[in-house]
Amino acid sequence: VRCDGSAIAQWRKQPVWAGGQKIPASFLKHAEDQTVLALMTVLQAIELHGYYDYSFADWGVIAAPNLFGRITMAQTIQRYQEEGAWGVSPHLIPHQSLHAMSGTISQALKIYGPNFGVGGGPNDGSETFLVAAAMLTDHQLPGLWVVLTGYESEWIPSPDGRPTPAPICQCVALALIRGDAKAAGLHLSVGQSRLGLHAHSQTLVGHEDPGLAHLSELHLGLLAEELSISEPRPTGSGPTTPKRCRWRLADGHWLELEAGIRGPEGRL
Amino acid sequence: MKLNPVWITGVGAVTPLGCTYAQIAERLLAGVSGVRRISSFVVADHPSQIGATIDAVPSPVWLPSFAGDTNPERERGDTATAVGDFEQLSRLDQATLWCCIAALEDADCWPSRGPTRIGLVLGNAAEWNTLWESDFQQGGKRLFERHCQLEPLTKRTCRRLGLSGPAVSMSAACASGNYALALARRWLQMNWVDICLAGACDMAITPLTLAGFGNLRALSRRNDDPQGASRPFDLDRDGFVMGEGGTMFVLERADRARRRGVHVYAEVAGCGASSDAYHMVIPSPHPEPAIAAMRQALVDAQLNPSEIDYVNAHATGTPVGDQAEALVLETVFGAHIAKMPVSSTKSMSGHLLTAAAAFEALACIIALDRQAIPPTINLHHPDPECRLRHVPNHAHEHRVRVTASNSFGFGGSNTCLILRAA
Repeated sequence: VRCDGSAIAQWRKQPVWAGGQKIPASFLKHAEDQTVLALMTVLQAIELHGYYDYSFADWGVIAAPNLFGRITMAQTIQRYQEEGAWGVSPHLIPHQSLHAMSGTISQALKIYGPNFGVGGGPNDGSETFLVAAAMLTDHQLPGLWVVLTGYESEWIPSPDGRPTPAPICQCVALALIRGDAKAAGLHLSVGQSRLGLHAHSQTLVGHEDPGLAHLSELHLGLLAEELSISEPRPTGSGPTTPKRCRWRLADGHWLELEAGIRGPEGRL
Repeated sequence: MKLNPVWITGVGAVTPLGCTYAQIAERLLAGVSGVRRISSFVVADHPSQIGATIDAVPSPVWLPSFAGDTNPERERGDTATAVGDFEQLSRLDQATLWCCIAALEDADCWPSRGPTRIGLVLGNAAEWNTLWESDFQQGGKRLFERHCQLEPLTKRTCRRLGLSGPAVSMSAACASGNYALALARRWLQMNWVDICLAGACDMAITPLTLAGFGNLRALSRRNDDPQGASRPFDLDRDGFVMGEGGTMFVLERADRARRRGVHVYAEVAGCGASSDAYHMVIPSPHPEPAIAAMRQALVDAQLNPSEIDYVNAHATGTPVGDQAEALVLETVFGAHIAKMPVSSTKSMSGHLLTAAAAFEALACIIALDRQAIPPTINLHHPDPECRLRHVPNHAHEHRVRVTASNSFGFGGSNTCLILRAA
């Protein structure tokens, strides 16, 4: 989901249905904007794929916001200067820390598996997939929500305390499960380098340096359906060219986020 | 499939109780409090004015040269290029570097780190908030400047130390350290790294954090008795006391450690994690998720509850949290709870927030190493609702082969880490 600040403000005030329960509007009152969008994106994914009645109770959720809490921090610093300790909201720490986004989603969807935040810095979200792959191969979780948020351009607060317009906020929510390596769709896989494998690799959402993978590129890739998470392609449409984002690991292993029909490269 | 065990072979720490293993062990077992009145900023209008603070992070002897550092942070005045410039780094950078270097040196990995694939899993909840606040306090304006070229702490640390493996920062609030160790163990089991640095650092005793927790009414207001303020399981407890610091461990697969012939502190035997899905701050009145985390750790370690010799409790000293955890322990351990010692080292260290779980893993290692249980100090009137075998005020000798450490956190996180003598 991509949206502006007014849409987030509107969502914040509305009660939502999640995890089979009606969540009151006050639930998101103190949440950071990225948290509001993250929850809405997860709910939209559930709606889009018809998982209304599916229980995510045993799943986990990991979330990677971007420069989380920055605007609130600027406001809080100003209030602290004016009012001292009294001016600091008790909601600052619970709702503006790296784990707040995953914690809020866990609470809303009644997810009782692990929840934690990852990264948090500029263009820092791609490491989330290193964590996700490790968690899923542990065979403890039936599935894992991976949620990444950020802004299209940097939202820089004003030093004089004047409000600055929020840039477009964007979020990608992926429901990952251990699956069939031959299935179509978006794959996160671990493999071992083979000679010639790089020859037909294409970079879509990033590069071999994970620091260069950007949320915007992942988001645009999903929008363009180059990284498809929807239904398998029709029979006879032919294999698609794999689109890959690759992280190098030890001993020649790699972690790869890939779209398209899988080739016979010998996945592990 | 039988997985290769993962061992802890190196420790680095900067804590309110000391910055070396020997110093921390001695003070933990002597029941020394690291809490005092905060003097690094004005606290007169804060509800809580005490904390387990660290005056200065020691400069590592083996600090590498930062020459050739072309990061934009240098253009912003971070001109650290050698040992003498260590003091110019932020306190969080200092703590992280100290802990990582000390752990690598302790594991005899420092000189050979270049060709070794070393990963980094670092727990920290508020890297950017801490940076913005501390910079602003010093007259800086980073909060209001463009950040797109700034490096996160994990990448800075890898670059400075020449680490080439995957690196990630993560936060599950006070449970972060346990998650970090669990993830590092997984990366090692999957053969993604040869060695992994894992733990957490948090230098969060700042004006905004102290005020935020204070206004949340989570902190002890026993300002006139700093060393007696952190009193988990005591009837007179009135909240936790903030602490700061960091602890990093070197983890590696047992076969590699055996080949290298290094000292082994413990095996990371089991990890369990769950969420309350109840409230961002308040622990769930339903103990099932926390019980599930502990049981998951026991299953992971292939142990029965009766095989645990010591529990380092999360117990922060809040009225609600300590009772809730006691109920969880009673349920998980059954009759064994009467003979298994339980203590909260937060009574001495304060609550290190994101770094708490990692420090408490170190407390468990010390219990394994010294065959002694660190006490819960300030425990004079045990809460009758916390029916545990406490270790009040003084350490005592005890056979310790396996320890469990609980860490729970904001966002509803519950974790349990089991360490076993290797």
